[in-house]
Amino acid sequence: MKVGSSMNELDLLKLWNQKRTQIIQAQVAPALVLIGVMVLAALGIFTTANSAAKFLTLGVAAVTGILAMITQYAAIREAEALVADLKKLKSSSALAGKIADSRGLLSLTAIGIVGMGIAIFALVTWAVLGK
Amino acid sequence: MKIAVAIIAIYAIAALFLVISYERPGKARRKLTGRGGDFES
Repeated sequence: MKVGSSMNELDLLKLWNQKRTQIIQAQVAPALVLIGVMVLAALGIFTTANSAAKFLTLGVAAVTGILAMITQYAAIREAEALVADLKKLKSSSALAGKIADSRGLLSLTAIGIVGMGIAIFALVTWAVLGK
Repeated sequence: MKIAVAIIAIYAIAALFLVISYERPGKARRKLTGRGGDFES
C-alpha cells in the first residue's frame, strides 16, 4: 500500500480536530498550576515561605510548562504535515480548503506558544522570588 | 534578583534547545546489515 494514499478528507479533518483537542488539553495542567501560584502570590504567601518551598514551586511550574510546550509544539508540527496533505486533495470542501490555508497561522502559534511560555515562566519566577 | 534571572535564562535555553532539537533531529543511525564491514571493529 502506498503511504498516505488511504487518507481522505474526512480522515484528515478528524485528525485536525484531534490535534486541536490535544493542544487544548495540554494547556489544562499548566493553567491549574498557574492558578495555584497566582492565588498564593496574591495572598503574599511566598514572602514568608522558605527557599525550599519557593524552588519547589518554580520546579513544578517549569516542568509542567516545558512538558505542555513540547506536547503543543509536537501537535502543531503534526498539524502542519496534515495541512500539507489537505492541500494535496483535488476536490475538497470549503472547510478543508480553509484549514489547508492555515499553515502560516500554525507557524505563528508555534512561535507564540514557546514565546509566551517563557514569558509566563519569567512572571512566575518574579512572583515567587519577589525582588 | 540574580538567581531569578539565572533561572529564567536556564528555562529559556532549555525550551529553545528542545524546540531546536525537535526541528532538527540528528541523523538516524544506519541499520546494521553485516554487509560492508558493519561488524568489523
